[in-house]
Amino acid sequence: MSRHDWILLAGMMMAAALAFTLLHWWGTASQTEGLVLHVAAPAQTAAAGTENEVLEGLDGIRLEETTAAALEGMSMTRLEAAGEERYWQIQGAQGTLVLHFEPGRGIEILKAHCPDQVCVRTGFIQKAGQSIVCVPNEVIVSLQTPYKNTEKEDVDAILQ
Amino acid sequence: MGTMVSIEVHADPKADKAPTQNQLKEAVLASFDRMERVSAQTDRYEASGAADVQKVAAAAGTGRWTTVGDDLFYLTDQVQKRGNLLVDPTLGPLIDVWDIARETGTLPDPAAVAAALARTGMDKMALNHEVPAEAAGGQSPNGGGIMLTEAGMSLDLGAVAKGYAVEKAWESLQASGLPIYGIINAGGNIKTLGQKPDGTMWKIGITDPTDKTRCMGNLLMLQGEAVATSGDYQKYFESEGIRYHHLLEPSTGYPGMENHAVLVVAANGFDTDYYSTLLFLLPSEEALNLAETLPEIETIIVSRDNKIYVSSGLKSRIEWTYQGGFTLVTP
Ligand SMILES: [Zn+2]
Repeated sequence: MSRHDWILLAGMMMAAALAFTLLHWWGTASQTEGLVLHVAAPAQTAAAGTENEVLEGLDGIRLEETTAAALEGMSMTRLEAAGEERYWQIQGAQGTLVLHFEPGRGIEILKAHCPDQVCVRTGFIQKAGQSIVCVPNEVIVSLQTPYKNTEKEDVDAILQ
Repeated sequence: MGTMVSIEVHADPKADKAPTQNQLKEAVLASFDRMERVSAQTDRYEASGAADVQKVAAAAGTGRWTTVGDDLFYLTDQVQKRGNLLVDPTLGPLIDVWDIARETGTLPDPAAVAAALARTGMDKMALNHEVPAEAAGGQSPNGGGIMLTEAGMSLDLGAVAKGYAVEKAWESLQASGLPIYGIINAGGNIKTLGQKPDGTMWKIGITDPTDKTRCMGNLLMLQGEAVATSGDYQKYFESEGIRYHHLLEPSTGYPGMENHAVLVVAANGFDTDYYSTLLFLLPSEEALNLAETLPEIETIIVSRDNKIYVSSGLKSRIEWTYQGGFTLVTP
């Protein structure tokens, strides 16, 4: 790892810790609805629009703008780590990553374009506060206690 | 793809031979790879600068052909053949101007818009099927050559690439031959795969363009059907109370102001993306009338003056849950 990587890693860890603290602080009313997955990734280029839009992903995602502000230059997406097994493809700094949610096992990074593959070898995480970091891709995936009930409508998907 | 894509697939419980979890996983990964291939050709924001669209832009005005992959060639060829000037793949310079405007939150200088507009136009984009035969890189045998005739021109396939990529991802899952059902969701573009075991239709929540945290209703979808939305709420900034969004009118260089959102349902993802952009830029009633003449598409149009128009084939397939300040127009 280069010096730049270490600085980046330290920054990302601090950001993750900060996000975690903030989430706990907000988390007084947390329910046992299941955990939510937070994905911090490099803010996209202009293609993805302004920060607000970057945060807006898709189906089941509710964005948390305040959290994102704590992670400067990164976008924060909140996914529902619940329900049916599913996969997401997200954009990292070096390429795409595939996240996999499996009921009962949790979340894993199934595939990543990174030289070290540390994130993939981490395997599944399933408890609040656990995270997976991909340093080369500048991505943090963390599981948190929900601090706001997601009003998930009874639909198969939401067209944004 | 610039946006996050989710894929949900399940083994069909009624199948004689259930696929293993590894088979499902492989099918999903292959499907994501297929989308990445589209992205590698069409993403003009690609950080490495190696995307085919970026190579085409770099050669603009030099008189040289650029050999591009099959996906980019197909997309530019399709859009050019269809010939409607409202969907223009050469708006790159104009989109750059509005990207900066969105980042800075300030309206662009009209002179900058005019200068960018002068560097757009499908008539200045030449396509040639024969080029790859000579250039034969081997990687994209069905591609072709593209040439932009003026310096400073660039392609932007934003109006069609995502819907097409969803279609290709769906084809890839189909090609696995596994007994599966599921859904591919790229935000504004969705396609369903197979049938749910309980036999019910797929239910898709429709976002309220005036409050994106809310759904206005549910759209019931058949198996293998695609849907896309073009909306003024997806990418925008506001200046003096006016929402300047990303759907640009190719003749003026400014965002189209006729509608809030246009949703299009069709069998093919490319069609949904193409027509949602095209109809968005037309006055609502004209858009509805055009859609009624096209058997391959159905539409929901939310006009700027808060009226909702629904094409005849879709009326029985929407469950309205909330209509906000909108009025449902029933002709
Ligand atoms: Zn990694």
